[in-house]
Amino acid sequence: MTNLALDNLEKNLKKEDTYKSERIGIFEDFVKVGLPSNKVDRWKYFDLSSKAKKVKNTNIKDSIISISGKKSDKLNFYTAQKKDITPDIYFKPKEFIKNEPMLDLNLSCSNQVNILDIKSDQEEIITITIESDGENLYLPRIIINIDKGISAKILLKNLSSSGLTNLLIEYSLEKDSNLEIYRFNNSESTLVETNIVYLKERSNLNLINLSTPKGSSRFQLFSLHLESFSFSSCNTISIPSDNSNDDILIDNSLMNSDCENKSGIRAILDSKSICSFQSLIYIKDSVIGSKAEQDCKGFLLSDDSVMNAKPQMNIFNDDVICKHGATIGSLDKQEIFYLCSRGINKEEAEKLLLNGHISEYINENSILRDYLPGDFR
Amino acid sequence: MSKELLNIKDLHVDVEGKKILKGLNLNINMNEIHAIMGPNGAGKSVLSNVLSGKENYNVSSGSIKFCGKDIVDLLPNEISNLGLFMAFQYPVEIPGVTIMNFLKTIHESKRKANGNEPFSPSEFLNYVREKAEILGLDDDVLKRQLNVGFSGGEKKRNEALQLLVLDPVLAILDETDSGLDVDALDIVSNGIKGINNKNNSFLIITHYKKLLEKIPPNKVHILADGKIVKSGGPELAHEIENKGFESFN
Repeated sequence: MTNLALDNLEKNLKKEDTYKSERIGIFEDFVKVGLPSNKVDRWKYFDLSSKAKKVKNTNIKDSIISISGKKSDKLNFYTAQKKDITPDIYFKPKEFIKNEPMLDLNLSCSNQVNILDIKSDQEEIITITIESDGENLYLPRIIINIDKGISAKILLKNLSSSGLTNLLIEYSLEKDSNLEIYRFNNSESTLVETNIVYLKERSNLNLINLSTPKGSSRFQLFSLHLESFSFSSCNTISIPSDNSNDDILIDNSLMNSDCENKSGIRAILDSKSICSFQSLIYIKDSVIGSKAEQDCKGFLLSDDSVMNAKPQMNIFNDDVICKHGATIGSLDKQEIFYLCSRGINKEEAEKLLLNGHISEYINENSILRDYLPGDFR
Repeated sequence: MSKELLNIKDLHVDVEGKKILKGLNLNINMNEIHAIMGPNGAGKSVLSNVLSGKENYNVSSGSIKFCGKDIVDLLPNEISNLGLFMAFQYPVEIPGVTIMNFLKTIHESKRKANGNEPFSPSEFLNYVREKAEILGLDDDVLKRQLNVGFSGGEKKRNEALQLLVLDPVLAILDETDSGLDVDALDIVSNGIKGINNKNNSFLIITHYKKLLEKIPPNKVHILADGKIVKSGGPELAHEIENKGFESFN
């Protein structure tokens, strides 16, 4: 990011509010590491630093966030000011996630904090839409709280069309709660979306991620299994447009016993599109009875498409069941022959195979089916 | 005289420079059941793959006529739509595609290729259920992903189901009996026998006479070192069982 941009951000920090000194401290953390670039980034993601230079106006603007459903005592969505939130809530991500500059940038400079409290079972799916308005810097933050024993479904649509959006979403799942998230990313701009999930005892998170970016997009999910018997899964269908990047980082920390985590990806890549998938599992030494799976399949439809996969498991005790697998390549010729031998042509056979892989995560009845690119609907 | 269905003349095929079929001749007429038996490496599977149009098999000389058409340069789907079906020895797994959807896709494709309208959904459902029942398969199986997690026997039954649904004029059964227990062999062979009529033929590729006892062939051929070395009636299968393949080399 240019010096001018830093000046702008610093100006923003000088505004008086309750946590000015803490935010300045976090901003200094951000400046120390800087925006992710090829030099400093942990892995093969797109160079955000060079993308950020293209943002014309580094004044921070509010994203346009809309939500479906009627507000009530049991379902409340509101824009909060920083002073309305206690420090233990506002700075909570810093307890768990270190050296994450995009998180630091959001925490230090965001002026847009939205809160969604779900206190009763939701039969209807709650739709949250995020859009941008011009070549600006956007730092929205959304905090979603699911009460004890409550079940809900959320459709999250990221439709940012311009600028650089650095979105932070936190999900707090209380004991025995269930949350299904259907994420649709169709952003045309540069997007970094950091999701943090705090999982309490016997809570369940199922996230299906359909990512079809038309620019450079990074999705980060940090699942923190804070209490026992919690479950989380994140399955991604990545179909970036031509010349687009789709980076997926899944970071799971199993910090209590008998927790389970699954993450997977099916990436369909054509014409200079690139997908990077990194899945990390961390299991503490004192934690027993953990289960974890990582499953990656990348389908390269052209010679100039690229898939990077890095499954990683940091396990510090023996009482675990973990597995991982990664397959990258063109479609299987034997499978194509098998289908063609039943009377369908090669093009149809390839489409059927790809649709089959998509259906592993997005079945015929899924709400995300309508958002698939035309060829795969 | 019976209508000629398949005519293979002096077929020579090589795979990655290695000669596999070395002058194979075979003639199958309509309403006939033929069996090809032979030792491992004789070229049985290469023959079935070439007949199905698999790429990377070089036909260096000879001809294959199916339904009066030269099929050497045809694509697998074109050959299939002429009415040839191969039941694979090792059917592949296709994740995410349910058997029902797959059957619907291939059935519609065949009807379209033959200039027919597709079945209505209810018509097709009844049609598939009827075929599945013959093979002892229930609706739950039809909801499963194609061959994913199937046992060897389940895969062979699923191949037989596709065969019954597509109702081809020539079915090649490539070692369909391998991996089947006694009961499953009975069910599959009865199902296949049930669709055998004057408008179709079968080519059974096998190592053993057990399947041939269930579906008695009109002719048995011994394939060794890339060509048919002996042809005869069903008694030839008994001869092989007693003497082995060695004596025919």
